[in-house]
Amino acid sequence: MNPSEKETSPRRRFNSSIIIFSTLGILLALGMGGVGFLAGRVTAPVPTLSATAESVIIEVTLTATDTSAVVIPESEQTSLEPAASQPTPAEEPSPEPELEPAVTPIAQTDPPTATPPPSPTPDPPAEISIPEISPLDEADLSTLYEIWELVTDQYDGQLPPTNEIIESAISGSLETLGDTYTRYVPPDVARRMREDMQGSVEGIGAFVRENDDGMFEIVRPIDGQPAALAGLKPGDILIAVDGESVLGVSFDEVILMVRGPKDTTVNLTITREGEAEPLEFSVTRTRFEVPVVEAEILPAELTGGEAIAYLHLTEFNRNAEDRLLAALDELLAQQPAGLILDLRDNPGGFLDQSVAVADAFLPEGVALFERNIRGLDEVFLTDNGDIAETIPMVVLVNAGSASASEIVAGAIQDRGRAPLVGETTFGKGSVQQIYPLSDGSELRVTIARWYTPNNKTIDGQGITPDIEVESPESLGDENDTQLLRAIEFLLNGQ
Amino acid sequence: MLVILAVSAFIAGYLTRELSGTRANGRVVRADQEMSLFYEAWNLIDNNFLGTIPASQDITYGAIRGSISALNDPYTVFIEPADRAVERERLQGTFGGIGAYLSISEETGEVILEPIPGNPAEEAGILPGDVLLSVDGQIITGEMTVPEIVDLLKGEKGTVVTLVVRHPSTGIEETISITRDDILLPSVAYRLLEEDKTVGYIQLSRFSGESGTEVGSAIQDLQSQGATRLILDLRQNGGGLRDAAIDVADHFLIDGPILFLQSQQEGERVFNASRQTQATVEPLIVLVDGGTASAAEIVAGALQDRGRATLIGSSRTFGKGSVQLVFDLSDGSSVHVTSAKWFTPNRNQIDQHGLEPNILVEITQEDIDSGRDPVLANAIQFFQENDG
Repeated sequence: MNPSEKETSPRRRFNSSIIIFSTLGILLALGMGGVGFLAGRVTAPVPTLSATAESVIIEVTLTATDTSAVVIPESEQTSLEPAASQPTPAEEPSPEPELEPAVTPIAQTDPPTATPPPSPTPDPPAEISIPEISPLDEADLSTLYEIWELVTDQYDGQLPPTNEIIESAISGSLETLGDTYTRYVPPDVARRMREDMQGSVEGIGAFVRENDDGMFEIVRPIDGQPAALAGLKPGDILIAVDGESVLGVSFDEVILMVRGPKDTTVNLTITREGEAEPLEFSVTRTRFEVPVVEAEILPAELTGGEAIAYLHLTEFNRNAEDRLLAALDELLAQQPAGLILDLRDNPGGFLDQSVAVADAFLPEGVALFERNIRGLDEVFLTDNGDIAETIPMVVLVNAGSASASEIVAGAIQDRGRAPLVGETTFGKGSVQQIYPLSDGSELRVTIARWYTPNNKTIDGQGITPDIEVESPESLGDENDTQLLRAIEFLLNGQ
Repeated sequence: MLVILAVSAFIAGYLTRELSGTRANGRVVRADQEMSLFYEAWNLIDNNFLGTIPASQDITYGAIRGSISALNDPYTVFIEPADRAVERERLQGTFGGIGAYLSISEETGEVILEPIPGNPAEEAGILPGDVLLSVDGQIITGEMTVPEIVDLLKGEKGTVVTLVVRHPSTGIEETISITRDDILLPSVAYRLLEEDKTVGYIQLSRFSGESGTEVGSAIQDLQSQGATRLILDLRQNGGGLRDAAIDVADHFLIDGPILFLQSQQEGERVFNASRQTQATVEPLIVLVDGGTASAAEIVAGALQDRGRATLIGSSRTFGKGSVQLVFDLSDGSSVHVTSAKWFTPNRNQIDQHGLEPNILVEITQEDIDSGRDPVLANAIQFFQENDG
């Protein structure tokens, strides 16, 4: 966490990968009723992050509930992470022994409640005063102390534990930066995110999201995994876990409730359209890999008999490059006439993964530039000799394509490799680095912007596709007009 | 100057109290080890954040808001200095100004003045409906907002402000100088009802420092005009000062409890009505709705529990049974701290439940569209049916 480390650490960008899922449950409930206050409660969102040392992320916020992040690595952890416009896997992390020991053990011994041990900071206990470099003025901070003396003295109710107060103070102070991607991640959430990023987790095997109504919706049970085997279906609404209502519980907490060590059982209560009564499911958790790639040769009836390969990348987690290359191997062995890379609703992930994915389709050249607060440019390159540099290709994008997805789409578009079909992308052009803090929590800081090979930033505006096609009701079926347009392009060359 | 600030969702029933040497105890968050995490985070931000670092005070205020949110109590809140000044005026009920309401005409975009009787603007010759053209030489433009104009008009008591206005009836422009004074922001409006001249109607919009006195003189005036029955309208009254609530309730009650306060710090305290009572015998109806909150619920609850009044309304009241202390801090900000719960004379805790009206009146969309007030109509009818 000290800045000098970061600067001296050289790039090793291409062999690191970590994923981040984050479906941000940003709950920003600040309302003023006609009468009386509804005080603003500002809850820190919940992204997932990578490993040890420092990690950089780029994230994005889609809507109030959706966020994407691109994570760019430092040392080894480069990731572009989106905070998921989309599903977040609802599985519980498990200790990964092969992971950096520095982090994992803490995760295992800590109670899931996130409260760190009462004896805080193993750090330098001696100095307590404000460091000289701090932007904080002691005189201003005295107001904070003054208030907490009053509250401690006068409050009619239970005071939260000190560490919770401090965490909330940090989150609240970070909001003054006006940057949704710079945020504090409490220890338990940080732990879950680290585990997510590895691409293998312990849980029920389903993607869950917080939908527009604030309900926790099963987006997709993963084929062959416990949730699917138990009979959970897309659209099911989770209302209780082990008998405990999830009403009013944060997204992160719900994820933590659902996840757990493999071979343990969790009881889920859901409501389903068409069912009058809630349904109960008992699901035995398992360890599974989060699938990131769907690949197929499209059915002949969609393509008029032509062999067209379809490759859907759902996120840029640590396995993205490997799974993508393996899928390409299989698909290209069937000698398709063209390839469709689907990045729709892909919220991003790690930066190095995005570079590796772009490289699979691009010859030698620039993938992106990154520029930080000190004005330093860093260039990320692609090289020759990859598997899919010449096959005719189309990339599908939509407003859920964020962050790492935009890096890939931007590079492919700028370098004229293939047309983009769909709608304007999300527009997240910043990079976050992840700093582990002394109590096991993490600080994600926006440290840089990235630019496409033509030196454009897409921040706040997104990438406009070459061929605009409005989003269909559902993706991947015969009414998927964006997919049909992509096929048409590959068949007709226009 | 008075503003019709539509805003004002501001008040949440609390009591003020002198901030006199509060004691700190052992649980206080001090600048020690726990705070090192805070500094750790901000050092990282300072060194790496791509963007502008806010002023130290802004960061601190953010930290305060954040840390207070950890209490998960919607009524314990931090108020920054600028907001605190506005709040103080509302609660005191007075401030330095010219004494006129100000509004922007929807049709013409012009700024219209409405002087309050007995205040400097009226005495200096401002007429209702006058169009404000300039203030101390500054031309009023369409881009200016009401609060901006109000800022020009407000000022210390005794200072002079010069306005140019156009009288709409004659079209004549006139320059008028006004000496600012303490303006009373009335919380009460009252009248004998057209429908029944024996009914005195008192509408109380909030509980400010002057409310007790204002309600007292309203009752007196209505009595002298021949009112033998009273309606106290507390609809959309979001509360205010606790002591004002006690003063108002006291006008209708002889002796006995108005409310009980219970806090971790002080145990239980009872607040009693005095023997001096303005309206002892007049049949009384209190009008309530879902916007009747806090201090207003203290009054309604006391009058209901003590059998002094019938509550008529379109819904349960808001349901705020906690009391906040307001502390002013050295930098001009303030903090409201939930420090007690209150109970009605029958020891009901109304938090989240609210008060149930004795008579529930439905308001239809048709009533709203045609501007009818079925709740008030029901109250008048109630008096007629229960005459004598």
